Amino acid sequence: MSEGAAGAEDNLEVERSGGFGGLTVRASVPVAELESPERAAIEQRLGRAPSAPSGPDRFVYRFRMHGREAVVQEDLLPAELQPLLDRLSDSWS
Amino acid sequence: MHGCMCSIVPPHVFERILRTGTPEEREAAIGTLSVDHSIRLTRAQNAALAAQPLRRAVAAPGGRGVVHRTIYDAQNRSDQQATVVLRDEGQPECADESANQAYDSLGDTYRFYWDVLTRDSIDDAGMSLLGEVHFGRRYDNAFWDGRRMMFGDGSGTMFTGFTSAVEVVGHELTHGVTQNTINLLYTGQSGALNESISDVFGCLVKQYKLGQTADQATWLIGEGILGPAMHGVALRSMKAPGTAYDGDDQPATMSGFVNTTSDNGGVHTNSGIPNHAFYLAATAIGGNAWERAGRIWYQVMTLRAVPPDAQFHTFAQATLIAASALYGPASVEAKAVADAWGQVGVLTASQMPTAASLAS
Repeated sequence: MSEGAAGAEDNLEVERSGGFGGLTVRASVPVAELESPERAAIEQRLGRAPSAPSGPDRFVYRFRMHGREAVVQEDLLPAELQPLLDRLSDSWS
Repeated sequence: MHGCMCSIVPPHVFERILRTGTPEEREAAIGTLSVDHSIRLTRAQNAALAAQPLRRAVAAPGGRGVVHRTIYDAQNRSDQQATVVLRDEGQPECADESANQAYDSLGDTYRFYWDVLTRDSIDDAGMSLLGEVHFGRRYDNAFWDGRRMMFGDGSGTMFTGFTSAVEVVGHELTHGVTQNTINLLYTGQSGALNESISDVFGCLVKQYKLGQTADQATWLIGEGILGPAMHGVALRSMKAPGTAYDGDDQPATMSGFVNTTSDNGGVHTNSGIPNHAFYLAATAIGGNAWERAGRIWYQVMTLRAVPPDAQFHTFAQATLIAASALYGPASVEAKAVADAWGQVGVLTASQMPTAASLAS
């Protein structure tokens, strides 16, 4: 999952860590399959400094795309990304 | 924080108070250990917190020691504060099983804090315990949002729910207690301490409820809430960190400390180290873990003996000083605490600066 790994340009890699369980799970989706508002919402955040932890036991999301990443606290996720996370909910591993 | 003895009380006076002072004098002496810039920062942070227009406690009828709970229905939403009440204090069981479980577990947690530690709710001022069940859609999590405890229903694959395990509710409520006391920063080692304290008191709530001694307890966090995709008995084991489920990566000692940028710096991973230290101390002391080991840990919190950015060794030293103050520097309890932090690799002999002076 290092930056620039094979295929990283083609896929959006999503990691969800934290939560009460502290389980780190991952999912991947081809960038081409993203809806344009989803893609825009992620691209807008790539490379930004991560915000401070929002609170205990909240999920933390990491998005990697085009060799760059964005770390977003659960409660600061833009509404545009909720459909994407709903689609990924059965593919976390 | 090297050598916590470097307070405004000269060491020899401090020693004398620890040996011969009344319990009140000993508490006061321990309290002075915190008189530095960091504790003032904590107080400033807490003052700022108190000044926020938080939904404050509804005054409990009948004075201290009376629980007030309200369980709301989040109706699978996560974007707004729930207003539909499923069960309010004193009402009989409702038709919603999650609401009844949350209600009962909040009661168990309140009772533990009041009976054992004479703490009147999260803020020690009778703050109402507010919970929301059915938070989000298939939401695989439970958390404390600063005002309320939120419980998802679980996806059914990873988790089957969160309200059935009393230690989960105790864990979440304890995040509120930490916020109101030492307010540990939720990142890196201080974040792992924040997590560990919630696991410690979550476990103690359960042990107190079941009347289990340290030897009888399972020391598991999240028993009975794992779904079919998770293979194991629980989420965390304080007795044997790293063994609760397939994939559990918690270390038990500093040699396994995990450096990561995930999970706010591995706060749920490295909590295994202070978790195991508490388990070792409690089992070495023996009997009911909440009576002495729990009191020592709580003393560090309620006296605000560490700063918000405390690292493991700072917290360890504070527990050692608290144990010495409560039970004497040469006590079984003080030795058990020192040995525990030594065994998990947090304190080396040279990092126990107070031990020699305390033992006089």
